[in-house]
Amino acid sequence: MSLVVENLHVESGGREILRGINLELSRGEVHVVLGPNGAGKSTLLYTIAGIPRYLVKKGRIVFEDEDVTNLPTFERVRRGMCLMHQFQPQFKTVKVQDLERMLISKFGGNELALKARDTLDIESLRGRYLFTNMSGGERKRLELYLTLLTNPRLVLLDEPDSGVDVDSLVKIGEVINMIIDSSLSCILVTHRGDIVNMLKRIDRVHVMCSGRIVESDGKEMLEKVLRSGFRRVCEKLRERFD
Amino acid sequence: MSSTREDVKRKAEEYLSKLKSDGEIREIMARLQISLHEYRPETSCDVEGRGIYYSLVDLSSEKYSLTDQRAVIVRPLRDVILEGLDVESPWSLASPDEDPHIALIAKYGEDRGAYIRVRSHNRVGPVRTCYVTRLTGTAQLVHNVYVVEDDAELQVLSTCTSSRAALDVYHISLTEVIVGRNSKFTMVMYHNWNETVRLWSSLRIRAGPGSKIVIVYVTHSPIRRMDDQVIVELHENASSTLSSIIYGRVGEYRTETTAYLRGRESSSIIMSRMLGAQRARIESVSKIVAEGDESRGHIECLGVPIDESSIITSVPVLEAHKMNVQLSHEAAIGKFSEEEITYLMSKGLSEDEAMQLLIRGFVSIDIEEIPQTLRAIVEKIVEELVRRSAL
Repeated sequence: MSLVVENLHVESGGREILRGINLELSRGEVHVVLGPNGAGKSTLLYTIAGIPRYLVKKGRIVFEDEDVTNLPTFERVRRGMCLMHQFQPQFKTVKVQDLERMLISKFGGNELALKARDTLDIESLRGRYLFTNMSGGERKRLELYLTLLTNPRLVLLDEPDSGVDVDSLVKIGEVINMIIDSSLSCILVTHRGDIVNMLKRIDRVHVMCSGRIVESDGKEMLEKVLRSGFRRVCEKLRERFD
Repeated sequence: MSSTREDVKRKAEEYLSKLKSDGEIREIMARLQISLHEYRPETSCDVEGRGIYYSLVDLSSEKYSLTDQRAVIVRPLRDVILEGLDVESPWSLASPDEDPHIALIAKYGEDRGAYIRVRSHNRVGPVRTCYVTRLTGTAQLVHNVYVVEDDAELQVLSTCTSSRAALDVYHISLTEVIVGRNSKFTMVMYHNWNETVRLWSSLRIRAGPGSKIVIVYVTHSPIRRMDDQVIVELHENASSTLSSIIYGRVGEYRTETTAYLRGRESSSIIMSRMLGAQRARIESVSKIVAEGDESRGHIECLGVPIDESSIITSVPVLEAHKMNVQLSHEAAIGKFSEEEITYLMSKGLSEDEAMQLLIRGFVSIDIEEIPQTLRAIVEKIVEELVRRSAL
């Protein structure tokens, strides 16, 4: 098993955001997590990645048979899991090439990142300050490339399709398909269908509402949810907990 | 503007006699009188230019040898003064009665330093100058004069240092640089002291029409007190990029950089980067005075306290004398953002590695005009600074 999330309860800013998440991901599987704004999708990825502001109150996260619940974020990256952020800070003094060089020296570089670099047109961004004055598409393309430079076996993609122009979206879709072809495990969070329609393979779809996974099924659920919206499944949750 | 040797000494003496109550100056003067006879400024100078390598030239000895004086002259300033080779340049950019330190140089050390003159249409560099203090309780006085004739270029790497064993030392220096029309002068100053050293240095530059000036000052060593002054006057179409990178630890660091935009369409950028740790007090005053029509200037002063014990002060000053000038500044002091550190850690860097990357980026001033040879040296110095910041 690549990842096991057991009964995960998470707080941030004194508020409970995740309320008992259970999730299992076999090696090489691709899972898509859908849900309305505020459902807790991004929090789930941040918590798995170990971002400090998310506090695990109960439950555990197991990656490749190791309990990583209390490991700091950089240790999780070194074990093979890496998050592609939805939003990135704008660095005024660190250039793309500086971080790229450091990641290559630390993780040794890899063929997938090399191919992704070309597909994502990273060359023109290398001399620029990290994420500063970049378009939405440039930021997402760069973030995906940097994520792959860490040589991950589990890729956590937080809304790679939001705020992105059509050309960038196609490139990002191509690279996610490369990830799938490389048999890496992948969790993709989105609330739109743009990106999922481009993917070669989806093994499982989860719908989240109010900090819980309310429904999990195969790819066929995707079309249903995207056509009718999240209201129906979220109402189901309300019925269950009222 | 130049004065005779007697004028210089008389002015300095008159000025110093009025300053007898100044404790620090009195202390320096007392030291000089004690050690004047055995004191020899330890000065050396390498010249690598036009494919010729000159071996160490001890400027304090009688023996020096330099060839190819058609391209460049490198000599002890004393010889130049004694032989009357250049009576115009020394004391053309500084006056012996304007500051106590300069007065001390004028009285006791006006000829102790290097004279470099690059002839027209020649490109020389990097010339390496190095002033070392080795004797405890002494004051080292230095006076350099550099002349870059029209359509010429001089690159200088100045590395001042004190040995670990030399305690309680003063280093006082004045460097006058006269840059001709359409010429270029680049200077990288790398200072490495110990925590008992007191430093006062002043670099004065007159930039002729169309010339380019690039100055990079770096220090990351502890010091007792440092006062570093750079004053550049720029004539028509001349430009300058004046930058300082200070990683201050323990002592007091003060830099004062002033660009006088005298000529039409002259321009200057002043950049300072300050990192403070271990109770360091760092102050950076940057000033641009725009007197020439359509002159332009920008100041960028950034400071980052590495710990709670340091104090950083940044003072940008803009002064416009014409309506058609463009002046701007950006000054910010603050620690590296948590958001940036968290992001880098989410890409696999430990907190220390993330800090090092941020520090490296912060101090890596991007100056395109730095020649390749000096750029490689600056990069090495920056790496050393980053390495020390991690200790």
